[in-house]
Amino acid sequence: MPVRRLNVCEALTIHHVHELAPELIAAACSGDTLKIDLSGVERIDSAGLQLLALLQREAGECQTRLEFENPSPAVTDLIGFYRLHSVLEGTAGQLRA
Amino acid sequence: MHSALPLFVSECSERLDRLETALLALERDGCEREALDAMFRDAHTIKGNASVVQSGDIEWFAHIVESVLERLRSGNLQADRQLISTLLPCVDHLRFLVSLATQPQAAASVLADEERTRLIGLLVPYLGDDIPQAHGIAALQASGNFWNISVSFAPSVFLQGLDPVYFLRHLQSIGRLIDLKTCLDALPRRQTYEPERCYLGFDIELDSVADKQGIEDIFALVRDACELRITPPQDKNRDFIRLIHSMPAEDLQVGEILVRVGALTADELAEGLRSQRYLVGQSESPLGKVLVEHGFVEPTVIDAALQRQSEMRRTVSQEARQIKVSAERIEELEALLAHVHHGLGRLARECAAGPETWLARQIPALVAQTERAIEISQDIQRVRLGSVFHPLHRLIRDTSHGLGKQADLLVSGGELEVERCVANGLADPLIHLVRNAIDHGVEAPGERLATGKPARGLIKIDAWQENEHLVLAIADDGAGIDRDRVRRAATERGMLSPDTPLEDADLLAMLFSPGFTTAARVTRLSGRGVGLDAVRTQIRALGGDVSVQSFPARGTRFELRLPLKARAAHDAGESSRRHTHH
Repeated sequence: MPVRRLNVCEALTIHHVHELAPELIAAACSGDTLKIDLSGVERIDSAGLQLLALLQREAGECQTRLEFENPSPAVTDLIGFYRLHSVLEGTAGQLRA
Repeated sequence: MHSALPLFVSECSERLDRLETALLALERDGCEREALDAMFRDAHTIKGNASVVQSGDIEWFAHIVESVLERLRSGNLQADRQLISTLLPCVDHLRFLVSLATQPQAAASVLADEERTRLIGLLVPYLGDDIPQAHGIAALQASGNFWNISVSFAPSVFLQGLDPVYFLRHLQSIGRLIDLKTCLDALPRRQTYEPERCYLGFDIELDSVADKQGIEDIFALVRDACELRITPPQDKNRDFIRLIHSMPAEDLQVGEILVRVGALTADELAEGLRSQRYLVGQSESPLGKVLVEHGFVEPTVIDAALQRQSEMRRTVSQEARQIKVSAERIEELEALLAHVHHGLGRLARECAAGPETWLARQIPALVAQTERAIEISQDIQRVRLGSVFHPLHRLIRDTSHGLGKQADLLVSGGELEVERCVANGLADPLIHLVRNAIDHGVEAPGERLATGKPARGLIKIDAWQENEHLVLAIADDGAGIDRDRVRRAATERGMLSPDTPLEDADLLAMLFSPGFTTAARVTRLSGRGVGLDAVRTQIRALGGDVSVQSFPARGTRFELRLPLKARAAHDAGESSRRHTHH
């Protein structure tokens, strides 16, 4: 099964989600294995985090194996504050079940 | 200016006086639960009222004071001398802020800022590190049970440049986030998802001693773009009920009662009233029911407010209706009446010269009624002597501490009423005499014990009425006036030759001479030789005089005697001044 890799760079904020969302959502619903590298995310806000949560849920619906890789400190900090660690687990848990 | 400001100022002044008295009593007599509760309530009410008149500085600082009092009340702090010495200047600072409240923007705000910084520095040990920013509220001790905050943000907030995380993180400035659940239920499927819309909601448990308004204030910027429910901890509901039952009697609406005790915020009340108006006609919906349905207030709290409201209405209707009016307005009224009285007098004389008419017959009655009106306006301006005595308690405490002495003040006659100008004129002389009593009269504790006296000195002020005179006696149980020193000092100043025989009373009268002092050194308090001379000048300006008696090792007693009527005092003052000029 092909593994698709995507990098999210620099900013995952309200100013960028509009542009980033279509490609990421399409990939999350491809049914492939998708690895999204978050190591380059220097800034993230609630709109960005909301997009990650949506990707995780939609990937689960579409049987896409989604993994978020190397979350940057900015990402883990916001995820930690929102107690949404499960988002970073991707779909591994859901699809196994 | 907020229309409620004059009332706010007068209310606050009363509460701050009470708070100061209670702090002094706390230091002297130790902790009593009820007294601590009352102090806490005063600070809390000042804070609440400040928020009503939108005086953020006062609200913020009163909150800090309230927070310390809360820790004191809950046993986390001891009411030692150091803490009281820190809290008393805080009361002064609040007084200062209240006095600024009626003035146009920030005349003395730099001063206020400096003093606040200084006081916060002193308060740090009592509050921990959590001194809030000037717009925030103190985050304090863990309280054991928690606020529940449920908030969902409107889809538009991201586009307004507002990120929920900002508000949620800000909650940490007023307490500890025990739990935060991010609710993603509103996040739609990808087909209808719009990345720039916000779909987030949160359910938060917060441990904080902040009040409901304080929590709501965190969301102030986004208040119209979120649905917010703040549910107090169970303990808090019990506090609300207790506060409701201890509220002074006023004719208040249920909503106002709830806002005053902090069970309801002003925004919640407004929302409740809007809903109630909307519901009118559909069904009978009392406000209490609407507030419960919205989840703003617990039913038990509503019941308590309704009960208190009916009690208050009974009390208020029983009490005479009272209003607060500024002294200036009454003086203005009195001046006008005096003018009318004068005019009527002239009219009476004109009419007396002419034929007897209906008009001429009416005049004597009008004159009498005007005189009665003047009397009433003078009566209204009378104040209790107690208001002049009040600051002396604090003065004695601070002065004696500064000199390493201990002294108590016992007053009687505080219920006597005098004209405002008499009360004002007495304030400075009393301060002088009380300071003198501590500085020169009352001995240091060791010295007192050695001579068989209690370590704490006693200063007594008695006031009574004798015919048309007011008499005040200010007595201490100190060492008494040292005649030899008075004689020496008078000789040094060339006021007396060394061997002039002099009656005791005449020798003591020299104390009132201009520039006279026996103090070997100039202290912060006395020794500049202006004290007793100034006292006599001020009392004479009120038409009175001052005398002194002193007994070695038993103490000194000053007696002030002045006419009760300001007019008489004024005339006497004038005549004494004329007399002096001759």
